[in-house]
Amino acid sequence: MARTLERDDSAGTGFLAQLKGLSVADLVQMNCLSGATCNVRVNSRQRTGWLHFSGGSIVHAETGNLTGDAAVLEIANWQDGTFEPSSTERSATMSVKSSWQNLLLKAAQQRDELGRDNVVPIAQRSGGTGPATARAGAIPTSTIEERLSPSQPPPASGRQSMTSPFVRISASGRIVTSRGEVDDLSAMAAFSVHLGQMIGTHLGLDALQGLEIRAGKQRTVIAVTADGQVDAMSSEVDSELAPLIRNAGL
Amino acid sequence: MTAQTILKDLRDIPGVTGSFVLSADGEPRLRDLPAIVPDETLAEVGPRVARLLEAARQQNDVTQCSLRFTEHRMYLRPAGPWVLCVLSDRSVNVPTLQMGMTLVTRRIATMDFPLSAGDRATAPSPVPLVPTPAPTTNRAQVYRGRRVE
Repeated sequence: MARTLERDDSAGTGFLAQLKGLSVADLVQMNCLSGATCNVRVNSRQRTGWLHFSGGSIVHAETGNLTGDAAVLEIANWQDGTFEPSSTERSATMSVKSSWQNLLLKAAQQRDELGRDNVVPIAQRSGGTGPATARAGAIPTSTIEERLSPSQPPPASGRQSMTSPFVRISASGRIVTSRGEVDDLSAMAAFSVHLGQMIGTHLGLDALQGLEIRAGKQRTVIAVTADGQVDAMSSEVDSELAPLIRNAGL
Repeated sequence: MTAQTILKDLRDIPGVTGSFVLSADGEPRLRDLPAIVPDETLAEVGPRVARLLEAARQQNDVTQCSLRFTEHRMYLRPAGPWVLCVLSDRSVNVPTLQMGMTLVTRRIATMDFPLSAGDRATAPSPVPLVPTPAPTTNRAQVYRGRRVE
């Protein structure tokens, strides 16, 4: 697979390169990590697709019959061909809604589901391994965006809810609302959310919305609201936790 | 059944992106993940998963922890000396995945996934107990009223 790639900077600086052995995922990572703004045409067999990058994000993509996230996923699963800078007018459409990391992860998952042969024990790995062989074709996609609505403190109802601790912590770590003994719960919730966000960042995932922890009969649900507040509640009664579970999308 | 095939079975469940196994202190021991997640990333994630489970432990040991992200979910389940971690998209059938994880944890609980000598030599340095800012964060710190880079 031979490709050409050119930075579409208005200053006209940079290299015109010919590289072999790259994948579409490499192209996406290279452009996004460098904050590139450019249009790229991808040709694979009889198919053509366009990826529009702006400031390090994929903002628009299209193939013969797909646009947006679905088009990115389809192009990312093409295994051979060429890509080159495209002189087509940059589209004003912002059809791609997901982050490039999520799209590459999803594309990789789809490839794996089509060719499952990359289970490798860590101890036996020797350097990086390429993704499993994939089958080209249109890839279905699902709607992705889902926002949390601001959570409301769960209503106290019944005897159990009078003793189940609940705490709401502001983004700065201040306890906004609490019920019962929440010293341990608030610390654990804040720490867990922080670690969860770091884990997500490392894996290239989107925002953390919630956690659920089961320990014995105890169930702790932590919801992160859109404005960064953390709601946490521990209970052995599932019905008490239901509002928080809904808010956390768990 | 070999270790190689145990994790692969989880991907019979639609929506499962992949999975990996950590030691109790967060060292990656087995993986079935897309190549976009390099071993170095897993070495960063592992100790944080271990600390998350440690922090979540209260009167009882954690039996399961799930993290919900905008598009993905991550499930953590201790299994003997190991921790099974499964990454899925949000469309995954949770009861089906729970059953799949139960089967996998039963199998791996008694297995051994030793580190090779090479991996030991290149193992990452221990991650500090207090979490450090995420790698993309570039926020100035203020200590006693002074900006600290």
